[in-house]
Amino acid sequence: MSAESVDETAEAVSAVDNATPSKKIRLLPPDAPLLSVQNVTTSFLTPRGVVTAVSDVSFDLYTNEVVGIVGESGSGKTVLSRTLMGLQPKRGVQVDGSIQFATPFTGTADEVEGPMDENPLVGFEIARAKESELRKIWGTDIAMVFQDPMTSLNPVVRVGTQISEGLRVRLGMSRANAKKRAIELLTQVGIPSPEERYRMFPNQLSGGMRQRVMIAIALACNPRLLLADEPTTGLDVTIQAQILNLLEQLQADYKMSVILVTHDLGVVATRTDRIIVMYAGRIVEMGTTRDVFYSHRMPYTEALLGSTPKVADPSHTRLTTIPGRPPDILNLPQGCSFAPRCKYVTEKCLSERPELTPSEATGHFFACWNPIPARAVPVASPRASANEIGVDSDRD
Amino acid sequence: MGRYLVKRLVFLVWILLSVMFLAFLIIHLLPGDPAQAILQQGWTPQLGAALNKSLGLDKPLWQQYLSYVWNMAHLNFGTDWISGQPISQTLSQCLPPTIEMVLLSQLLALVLAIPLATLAALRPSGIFDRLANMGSFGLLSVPTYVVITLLYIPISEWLGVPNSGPASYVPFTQDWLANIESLSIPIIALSIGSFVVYFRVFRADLITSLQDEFITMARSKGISKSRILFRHAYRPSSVALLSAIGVNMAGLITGTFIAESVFQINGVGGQLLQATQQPDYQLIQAIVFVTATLIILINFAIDLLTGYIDPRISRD
Repeated sequence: MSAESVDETAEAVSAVDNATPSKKIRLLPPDAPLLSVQNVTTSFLTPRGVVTAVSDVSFDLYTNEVVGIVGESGSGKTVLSRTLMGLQPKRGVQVDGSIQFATPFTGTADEVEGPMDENPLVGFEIARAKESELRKIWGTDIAMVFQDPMTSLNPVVRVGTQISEGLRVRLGMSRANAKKRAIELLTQVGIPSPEERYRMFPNQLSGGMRQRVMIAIALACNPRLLLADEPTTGLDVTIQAQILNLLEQLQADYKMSVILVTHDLGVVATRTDRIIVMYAGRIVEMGTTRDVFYSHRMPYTEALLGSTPKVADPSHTRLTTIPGRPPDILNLPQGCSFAPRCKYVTEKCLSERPELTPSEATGHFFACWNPIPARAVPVASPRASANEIGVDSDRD
Repeated sequence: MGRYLVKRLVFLVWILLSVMFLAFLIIHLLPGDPAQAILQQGWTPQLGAALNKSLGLDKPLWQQYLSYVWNMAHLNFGTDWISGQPISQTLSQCLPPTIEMVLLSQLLALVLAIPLATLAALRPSGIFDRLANMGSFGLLSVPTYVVITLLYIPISEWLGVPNSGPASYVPFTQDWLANIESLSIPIIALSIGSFVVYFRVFRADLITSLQDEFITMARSKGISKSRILFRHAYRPSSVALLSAIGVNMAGLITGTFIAESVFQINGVGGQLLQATQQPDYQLIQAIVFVTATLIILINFAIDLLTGYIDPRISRD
């Protein structure tokens, strides 16, 4: 993975702010991250009060990179993925911070401040864009694979129509070409007899097939960033592995960046370059997959890893659980949100919230007052292998 | 779809036969005797028995039922024992204005309800939504005869629409424009009740559909708002609307009699009321048969449309 480039991105953000008075567009540096998330906070204005589902999240995502966002139910990972795409409804929802998406610059050289690059990039501010502006990048630049393909496919529209719709509307393809491409996509996501399926309705397909269709819809317009929000939650374990392998292969084929949102560490272990662990709407640990698995410092990450079942365990081994319940986000504790459930809790944890700090051993980030001691990390490719970690990743 | 259609058709034919059986029983269940109704003051036991014999009413019940089903199936309604007029002629006079009023009032109700419901659903509990909701409830609570009277002033007096007053019914075959003018007030009055139902049903379903996950998915493709509305939200929202249309049309076929009697239009509702008061058993049977058939056909059409709009229903 690339080094944490907080300074670099801070510059990029101020560049966007400065661009307005001079009316010249500041290009992003060629090595700028594809997605730069800075201090993003998403709050819902509810009758019970302001509910902050995502707090102060910052990270960068580079081209071709696969990042896993892990957390239990209610940790804010789904809200975060929708916020990143700008899909949150505008009414009743407040998004603060900056989500800068690098998009190719299509204007001329005299609109640009400074020298023109070979492949010029400009920042598109997702957090403050109107829906009409977002529509220009949805599908073609950022696409999403939704959690439950039963409810996220339109039950009364043919599968083929749902795939070719984006092609026709966004890419202006003719009916015949769109159909050809849609059938090609169905083949690519591993659906047998695609011509037949093209004419079917979602309820005629199995859960795994529906998720493949969902992926085909997301891939239709060749997005550069794919957000997969728990893409395998509602599926059988054998189908889960198939879908994840498919996503991994398509990521390589399409040269996309992928954000894989999941509650299952096994899912992210072998398929991500980096992992972001979320708890109660905040990032509590973030680093390369290898660092997080081998040298996690945050007790919550340890607890999450401990509660993943392993094949090596003898039969009837009791599954380790994290005591207590995820906190009520309307009523967060004053200090560390995890403190009430943490076995290493100290006085300080209950009164003061820890900030993300780099680990002295690996340089990856964690937020904890009383961290687990750093451990040595075997040197190899950033993606850990399932055997090494002892996580039963495919479970098939 | 094919199996679904056959199933619906079998079900509807079964209903038609049941309704016909009940209509047949009317003669034998209603108090009084057909001969008495025909002869009135001139009735004596001997004359009555003779008349019953000549009408075939002395035969065993099953024989009468068979010949009744046979006649109805051939649309042979016979001659009215009381007026001496062929019943088919009475029907051909009273059916067209009723059917026209039902169809046009439904069309008007839908043309108004769908766009207004859409506007309301786009901003639920917004100003327009709240106003429209209040207004529609207000309309619903005004009885038809009051609405008709109230409509008379603006339409006939202010706008001066010709032929729009009472007792000015012009048959469609004579002059179609004058015909529509003459039915304008009853059509508007009849559409109000349906409009309120359609508005509320479609608004509620559209609000639900627009919150569905597949709408978010459609948005994420970057397609326009209107496309999301028409291609993705309308279809799943119209199933309840369709059944409401079926129920309303069925109710209106015999429920137009208030409007008919105010405007002195010779329609099905009024004719049925008259036949029951007489009592003219043959006419009752014929009207029950015809209206039941119409209602069943409407329901079949609604079932067809529902199955087309929501493939989950037609693939049971």
